[in-house]
Amino acid sequence: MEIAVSEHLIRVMVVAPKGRLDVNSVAELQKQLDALFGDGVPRIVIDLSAVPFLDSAGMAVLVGTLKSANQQQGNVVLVWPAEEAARRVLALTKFDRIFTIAETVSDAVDAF
Amino acid sequence: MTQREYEPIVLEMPATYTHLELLEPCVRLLVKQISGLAEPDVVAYNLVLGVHEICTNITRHGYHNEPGGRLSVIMAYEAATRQIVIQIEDHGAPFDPSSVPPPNLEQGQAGGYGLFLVRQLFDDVSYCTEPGKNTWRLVKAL
Repeated sequence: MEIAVSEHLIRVMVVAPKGRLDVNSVAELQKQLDALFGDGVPRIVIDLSAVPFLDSAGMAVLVGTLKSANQQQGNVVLVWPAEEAARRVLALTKFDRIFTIAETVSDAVDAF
Repeated sequence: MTQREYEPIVLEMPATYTHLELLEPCVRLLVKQISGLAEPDVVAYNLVLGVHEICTNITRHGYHNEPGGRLSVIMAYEAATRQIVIQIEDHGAPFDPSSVPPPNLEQGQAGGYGLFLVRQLFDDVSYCTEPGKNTWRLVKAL
């Protein structure tokens, strides 16, 4: 009997902004996210646990990144913000339907 | 017994993204003064977010991100009706809120959530424009 064994490693990039994710800071996050594309299938975890405030500009970057990743057969998984009010706003905008959102980075990585 | 007087907070500032950070401490101070609130942190966050979105739109669309624009934010708690009323005035280009379609929440879109959030987070949202002045009025019942 011939048995072939091979190991496959899936690379997942974890991006963890700290601080407000809003119209003032999104350009910086966008730049960081853009740098992750172009080198294989994009599998990205965006850890929002240390984001105390998220506005529509921040949400736009998240969705834009998801759509770009999907176009390259990749995906974006989020980690819930620790801030309860921010979590509720993500639920209000149904982000929990268009994204997989995990409680921890470990869970988010496992989602791939 | 007389009702406690709540002084409005008036913030008059340049219409720039940088100055938006002034909104949060003012809103939180207003909310802190109101007794008997369930989840004051959530209330404050939602108010900040709504006002932030309006001010962002004014900066971007009313003043096209050009220097020199200014806006006023008047925040008040009306104890008699137990409502927070926030009025935002600018002198930039007028805006037509009815021209903004609601976002596609099922599929998500890269943009267009701002006004939707404002309408969800406040109980009454109105806008009026007259020559030289535009005014948003946001009301949140507590």
